[in-house]
Amino acid sequence: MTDDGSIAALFFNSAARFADRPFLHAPPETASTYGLQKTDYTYREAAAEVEALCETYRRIGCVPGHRIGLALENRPEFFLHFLALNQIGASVTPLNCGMRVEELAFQMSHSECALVVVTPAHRDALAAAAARATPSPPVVDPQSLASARPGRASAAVAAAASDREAAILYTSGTTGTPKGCILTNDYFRAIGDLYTDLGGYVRFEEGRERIVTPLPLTHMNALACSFLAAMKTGGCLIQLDRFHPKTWWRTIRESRATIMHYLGVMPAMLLGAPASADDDFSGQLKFAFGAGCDPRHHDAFEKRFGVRLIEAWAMTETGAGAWITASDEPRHVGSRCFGRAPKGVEWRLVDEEGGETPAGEPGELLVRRSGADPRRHFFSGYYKDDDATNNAWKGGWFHTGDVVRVDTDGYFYFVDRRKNVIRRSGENIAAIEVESVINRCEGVAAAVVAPIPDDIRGEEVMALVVAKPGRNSAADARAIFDFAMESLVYYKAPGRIAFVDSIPMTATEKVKRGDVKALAATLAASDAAHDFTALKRQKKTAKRATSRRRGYEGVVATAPVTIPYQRYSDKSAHWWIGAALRALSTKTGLGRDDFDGFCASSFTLGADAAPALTQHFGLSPRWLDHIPMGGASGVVALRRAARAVQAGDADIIACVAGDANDRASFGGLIENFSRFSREASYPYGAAGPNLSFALMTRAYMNRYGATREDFGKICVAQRQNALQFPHALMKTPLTIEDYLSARLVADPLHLFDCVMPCAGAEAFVVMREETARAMGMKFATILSTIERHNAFSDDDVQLRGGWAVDKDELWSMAGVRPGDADFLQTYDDYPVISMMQIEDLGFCAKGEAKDFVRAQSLTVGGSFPHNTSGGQLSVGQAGAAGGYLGLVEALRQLTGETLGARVEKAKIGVVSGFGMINFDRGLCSAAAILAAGGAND
Amino acid sequence: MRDFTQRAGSKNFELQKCAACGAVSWPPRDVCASCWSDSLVFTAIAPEGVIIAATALHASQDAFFRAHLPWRVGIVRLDAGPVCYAHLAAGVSEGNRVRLAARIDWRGRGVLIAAPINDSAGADDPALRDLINEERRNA
Repeated sequence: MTDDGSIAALFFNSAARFADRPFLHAPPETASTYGLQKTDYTYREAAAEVEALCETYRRIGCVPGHRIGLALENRPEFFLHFLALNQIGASVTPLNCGMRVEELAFQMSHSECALVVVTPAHRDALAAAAARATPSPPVVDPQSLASARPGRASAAVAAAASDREAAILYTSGTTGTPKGCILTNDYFRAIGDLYTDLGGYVRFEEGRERIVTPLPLTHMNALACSFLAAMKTGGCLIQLDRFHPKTWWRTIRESRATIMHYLGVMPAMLLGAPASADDDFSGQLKFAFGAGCDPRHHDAFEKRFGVRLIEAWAMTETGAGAWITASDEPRHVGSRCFGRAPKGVEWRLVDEEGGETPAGEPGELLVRRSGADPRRHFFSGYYKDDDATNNAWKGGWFHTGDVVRVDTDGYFYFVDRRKNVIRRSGENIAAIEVESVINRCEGVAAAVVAPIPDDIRGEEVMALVVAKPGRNSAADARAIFDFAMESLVYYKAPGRIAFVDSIPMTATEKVKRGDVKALAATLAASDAAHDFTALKRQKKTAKRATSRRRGYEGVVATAPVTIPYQRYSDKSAHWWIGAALRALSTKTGLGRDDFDGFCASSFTLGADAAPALTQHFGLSPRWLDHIPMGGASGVVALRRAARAVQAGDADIIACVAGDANDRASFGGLIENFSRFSREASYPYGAAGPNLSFALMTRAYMNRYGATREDFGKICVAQRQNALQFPHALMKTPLTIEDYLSARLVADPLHLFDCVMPCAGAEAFVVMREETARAMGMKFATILSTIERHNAFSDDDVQLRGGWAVDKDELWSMAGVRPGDADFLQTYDDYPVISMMQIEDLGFCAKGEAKDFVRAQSLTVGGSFPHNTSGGQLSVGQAGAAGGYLGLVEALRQLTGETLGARVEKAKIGVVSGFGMINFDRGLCSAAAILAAGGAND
Repeated sequence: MRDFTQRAGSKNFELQKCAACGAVSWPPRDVCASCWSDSLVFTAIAPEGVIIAATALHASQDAFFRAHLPWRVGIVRLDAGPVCYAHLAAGVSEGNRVRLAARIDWRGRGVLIAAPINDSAGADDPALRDLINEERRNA
């Protein structure tokens, strides 16, 4: 194969030469972390895979100029996809799955990713990020690549392959906004050439080397250096998922590594382990290649493990253009020495004013290539940021931001960084990015962030905070930390926080970074600093799980469907559910076989449950649920289905509730409603839950002073809403006088307090947001949900429900407050339970719903739109479909697809469910907060 | 269900009591909700309690009750622990202390009746007498 200068050409040439030599190997730890089926590829096998992937990418329309986001972690398949795309002439944006949604969305938007390929475990997080990105790329896992449709190609395509963009790699930058470094094929190839030709201790033998690296593929070292060196020399690349300190040496031994790549944190951690008889690797490892070894550990490490730590200096921006390595003696071990500038690299040291520093004094390192092209082998620039590129190249020199010292023999020693960057465990963290997050935190007047020394991680992030009055307690510090952890990838959060009276500033109100750093170091060592370093490490693994439930990012509810109710019908529940499925199909355009999940609720299926329905309707779902929770069924179905879709157990779930109501069946239903009711409530004479609700209403009125007029206001407002809703069974206007003078049913309940049983069905669909967008469906997103069963079981009589247990979580998870809700759909078989929901969901204090109802207008156009289609009290109670009614109506309001009156500009809706009067009280309570989706405009 | 009905009408007021933890259960069940023991034994318990809330039914699916409307039912918190529904004898209302009795109704079902503390199972109430009328049951 001719070499056009691309990465792929290098690979295919090596594949031809080293066909049956090993190319990729994943050791057991990495294989088990990722659940890898295939852990080893020879060059021949990899070439076949790359060619097959090329074919797939071409078939889906991938062309030169496309930029594809690769969120494949450190898996072997990352390399295969990278090579395939490189072969096509497309570029990649490696995406770090651990990043927060906002950070990922920024990188996708900025690099105009046309497609994101992600491992299934991270698909939802990446899809959530993609949904926020503009343009919003499709997100697929490698298995579904063939069905993906990439967006527009946006990268410029150079004529020569070597000048073509191969990747955009994001660096933290110093301004807080990550910068995209454009890296060409030449950039990568030059690094491979330089590294493998370094000489001294750094020598590669063709077909013999096994290079182990734990560094992330979102960094240049792993993406360019070890990868290219392995390919160039026909070696085997042993890419780990991460650094595992406890098993590091076992991995080295078992994988028969000959070269290891390290970052500064590793020698310190490896030296921390007790010495062992087989610590000497001098016979196996030729050298270790890395940067940033703590001087205190350098010599100790080499002596104990018999491996030389070859210190190098490079940046993503400088690449092979100005690469300096201490690969030969004298290496000046333990002095932060990184060798002498090789031929072709020109350099200067300058002070803060840009003037030449005196010999032997530290200064900022400026570099360039000698010869005609000073930028040769460097990055091509920051994507879409010429100002930053020009600034970095001010005066024709690349400004590294690193402060170094040079001795009389020309050896470089790292001193510090001028750029406002914290370097923690190999990650560059822009102080300003962390500061901007902390400054958004409640209780913070001003904040500044500085590095402090850390024995293991090199540096740690410390925040100095000027608090607003009275906001400088330990709890306030913790709140700042928690906020940073939620807003940033974990390593950027401040490990230490200290409150200060003021921040050192210059006369021109610029932060005195040097003074801040000194102050931070002093405070860090004192009691004044709140220490979150342990928590930070712990949360790194736990992520949000310990503090908060996972959200429903990337999942939506869509396609609200109501089958018009009938007071009595001779149709079976199966007919009603079938009608709802048919309506879903019509509304979505999806066919029977497109639904791989199905969730049913019904009281009148006789002996049948959801499994029987699959045969009845010819469904073959891979996820099936039957939710027998009456009035809580809708919200609970939404919860269950959303998690299934989020986890990838199903893609498109039809959630349906439907019930029959023929003239004879209702009596049988209530007689045998539950074991407890059969023995402890049915024999007491009332039809259905009338008795239970009469007693609850009576007790509620006695306790809180609510009156029939208060209940009447709810019923009358709902009827007014129902007059505009085409499917409502009760379409006669209702006045408060009509309500008050209606016949008694069970004191204090009169006719219009009692729901009317009927037949009907309701349905909706849960799917991924990207799917809904791709289909052009309007949808609602799920901000939060709760459910609770058999709460307050010791209460004499039900005056409150499970919402009261969970309401704080409901609102905090959603990040909104009751005042933000544009409407409320309560479960309303009797008005007293709506009153309880208004209280227990937090719209007012307990017992004050009567005052709330008196103060608000509850119609669609009113101050507090409630049960906007008329609720069950005016539409009818179609069995379990009654538990869907409020949710389906909420989806119509939030998607703007209303059938009746519409709440103007509804963005946030609250839906509540209540079900199963097992004997004397309702057992199931549930609620959800939904938001109008982004695609509904 | 048969267990309770079989005991209804006996001299003592018997509900399930847990031999392991002492909790009294209503409605009848197979496992104690307090300690999950299955040693639930019908045992004579103190037949007294307080009416938490009361209602009068003005409609019913059931022909017997329809013939006797309005029909009074209440929630009783038993001194022994559980909450139950009970048919209310004439003269008892919310807040009153009552005496509970288990009887067999006209359909052969065990039911609870709440009567004034010095009354024996609503013997003075004609509607309740009708409810537990043996002749009606056997008819």
